[in-house]
Amino acid sequence: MWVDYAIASSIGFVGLLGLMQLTGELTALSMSAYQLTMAGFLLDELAAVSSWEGVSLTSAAQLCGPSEWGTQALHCGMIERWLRALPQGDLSAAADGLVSLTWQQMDGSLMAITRSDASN
Amino acid sequence: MTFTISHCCVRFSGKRLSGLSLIECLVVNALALVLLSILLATSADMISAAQKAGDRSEQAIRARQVFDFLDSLVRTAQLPDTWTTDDITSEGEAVQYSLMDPCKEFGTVVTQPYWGGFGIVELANLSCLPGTETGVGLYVERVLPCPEECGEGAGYQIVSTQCHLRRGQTIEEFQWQVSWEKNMERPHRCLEGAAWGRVERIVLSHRSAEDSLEGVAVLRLQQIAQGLEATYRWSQPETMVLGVDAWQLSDLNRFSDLTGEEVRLTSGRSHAVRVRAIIGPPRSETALPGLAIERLLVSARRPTRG
Repeated sequence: MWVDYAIASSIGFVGLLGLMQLTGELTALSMSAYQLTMAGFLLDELAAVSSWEGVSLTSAAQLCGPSEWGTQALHCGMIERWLRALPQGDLSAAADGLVSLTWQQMDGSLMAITRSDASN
Repeated sequence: MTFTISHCCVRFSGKRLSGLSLIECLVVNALALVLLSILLATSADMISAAQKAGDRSEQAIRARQVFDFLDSLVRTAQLPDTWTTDDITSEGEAVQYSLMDPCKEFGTVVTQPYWGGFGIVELANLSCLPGTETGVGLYVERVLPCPEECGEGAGYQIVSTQCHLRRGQTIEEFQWQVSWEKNMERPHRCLEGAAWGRVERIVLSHRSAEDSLEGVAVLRLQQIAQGLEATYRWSQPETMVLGVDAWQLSDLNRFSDLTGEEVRLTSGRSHAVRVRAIIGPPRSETALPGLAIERLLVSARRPTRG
C-alpha cells in the first residue's frame, strides 16, 4: 500500500515539477524576447540620435550610456529608460566603431548585441 | 472462515489486520492534499507569471512591428541614395525636402530637384482625406526605385528629366517629374541607366477605442488610390494595427521661442519627428499596463562629426 502511494505521489510530483519547469522556461523565453526587443529599440534609437545630432554611433553611446557624462545635449531620455529596464544593462563603445549593449538574462548569463555605424 | 471488508485503504481480514489504519489513511490523504494544493497554487502563480511575460513580450513585439514599419516608411521618404549621391554634394541640399500638400495633385509639368519627405499634418485641415477626424497624422511621401521595389500596378511614376534627353545631351540641373502611368515599366524613349520609380503618399492616423468600429484603439493607414484611373484621390482608412492606445507626434524641427511663437528650425539639419505610442495589452484579462514606446524618426543622415 505504501508503495502504491509512493508511486502515485511521485508521478504526480514529477508531472507538476515538469509543468513548473515548462512554465519557468516559457517565462524565461518571453522575458528574453521582451529584453531583446527592447535592446533593439535602444540601439535603433541610439542610431537615430546619432544621425540627428550628427555624431558617430560610438560618440552617441558614450554620451547616452554613463550618467556622469550628462545627457542634456542629446535626446537620450528613452535610451536611458530602456537601459535601466534591462538588468545590468550596459552600453559601451569600442575603439573599432562598434557599440555593444550587454545585459543579464534570467538564467544569469550575459547577452550582448553589437551595432556599428556601417549597419545603420 | 475468512472474510474481507475493503474500506478506503484499510483491509480487515479474519486472520490479521493488514495495510493502513483509517487514521493513517486520513493523515496520508490530508498530507497529499496539502502538498497538492501547494503545488497547484505555485504552478497557477507560475502559469499566470508566464502568461504575463508572454503578453508583455507580445506588446513589445507589436510595438517593434509598428516602429519597423515607420522606419521603413521614413527610409524611403526621399530620393534613393543611388539617384542622388553623384549629383548632390552639399549637406544643406541633401536634406532639403519638398514635402507637398497631401491634397495637392501631382502636376505633370512640375519638375523638382527633390521628392519625398515626411511630416506632421493636422487632419482637420485635410478635406481630401475621407473618414478622418481631428488630431494629427504622420504624412509620408515615399519614392520607391523601379524595377526592384516599386511593383507593377498603375500609379504615380517619377522620372528624371534626363530620361528624355538624346544621347550625348546633358542638362546642368537634375530635376524629377511625376505623372500617372498605367504600369511601372521603364518609360518609353528613356535612356538606358536613367532612374525611375513610384511615388506613394501615405497618412497614418490614430482612432481612439470610443470612436473605432472595432472597440479598440487603432492605428490607421490611408494612401493615394492605386486604381487604374488617373484621378487623384485618397483611399478610405484601413486598420493597420489594433490596440495602439495612444499616439503622439512632435516635430523636432519646430520649437517655441521665448515669446511662445513657433519657430521652424531650418539649419541644414535632418528632419526629425518624435513618435510616442502606447501599446495596450493583448488581452484585457491580463492586468498589464500599456507599453509606452518613444522613438525618433530621422530623415537622411548627415555627415557625422566626432
